[in-house]
Amino acid sequence: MNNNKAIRLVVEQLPELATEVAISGSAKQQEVGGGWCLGVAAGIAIYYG
Amino acid sequence: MIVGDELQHWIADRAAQRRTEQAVKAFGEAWDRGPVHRAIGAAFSALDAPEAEDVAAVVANLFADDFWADALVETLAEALREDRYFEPPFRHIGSDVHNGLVVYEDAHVSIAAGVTRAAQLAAKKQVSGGPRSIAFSGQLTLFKFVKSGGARLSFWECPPITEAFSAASAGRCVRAGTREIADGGLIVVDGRRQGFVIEHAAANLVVLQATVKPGRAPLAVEYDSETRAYVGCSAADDSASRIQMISTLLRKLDCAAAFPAIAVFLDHPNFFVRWHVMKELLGLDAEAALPHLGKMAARDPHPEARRAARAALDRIESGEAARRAA
Repeated sequence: MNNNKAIRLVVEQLPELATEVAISGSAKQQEVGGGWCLGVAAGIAIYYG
Repeated sequence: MIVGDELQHWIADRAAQRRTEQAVKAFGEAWDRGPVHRAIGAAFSALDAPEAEDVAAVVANLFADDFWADALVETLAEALREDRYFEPPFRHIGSDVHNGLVVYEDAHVSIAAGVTRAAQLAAKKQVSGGPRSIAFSGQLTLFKFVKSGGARLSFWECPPITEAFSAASAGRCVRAGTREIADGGLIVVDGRRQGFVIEHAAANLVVLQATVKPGRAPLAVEYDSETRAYVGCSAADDSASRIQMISTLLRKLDCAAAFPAIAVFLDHPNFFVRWHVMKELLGLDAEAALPHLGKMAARDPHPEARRAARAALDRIESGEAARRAA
């Protein structure tokens, strides 16, 4: 935060988007097999139903 | 760590290490001059700004005859036989069931060769746990099953993932069929609306995978394997995440000089990147960021970015009004 400025905002208190977007390559739930990520987030779920 | 005699000698022998390094370097240089690079380079040089389908067609030609993959494995094995400390000059990718090497990468496509292990897949089946995800990568991807392992795949579809994506409109995924894969089988999965799951495999799978970069969706999206409902999403392009992390770091370092460089990303195609850098700019220099915030609240193409910007603007204006009244 720039303390020389009249308006001071705390980033963590600013509104969030309704759609939460995780960092590239991360998964919310376990993907069976994890996926074959090339570092460019080409995830594939492999699971057994 | 227990180090064997042979490794101890290699660690102490700088000349041996240099020989290994030279072998790795020579292998990489020979590979870069080889048929894969020549074939892809020639195909792309004939195309001006290739789109996803153009890139997929080039890769399909390359995958039609995968002699080069056999040759690659053979020469890698030979190099390893000659020097057990030789390391393939390729980036490794891996998970608990799959291991592979990224053997080609440029601005248009990444190609990996890897093995998915049936035993580990079977072990997964035995492990009880919570719900799992069906993932949609957001990218057009070609898979050549050099050895299919007798795999049976189920295919899935979801609403198209676009720049206008939102959790509220993500809907559900649906099953779109099942298919047994034969040795040499090629499938094209448009991860912007399609995904697949390996339901069963009797033996290891040897797979070439090409991930097409042009035209990719902004997000990879997950759906629940039981309810088929939306679970969450992540950035499809790691550069989007890097922009977010670096802008946060610069703000935490109070690096005011970085403001113009960060502000460039207010025009980023991904809505979540635009809002993220907007917040960091507000933290860095709120007065300088306010005009940008006003524009975003009025004109950002994504409704969630507009709403968040409007809410921030209202909060700032109400705070200012309260300050003036005090």
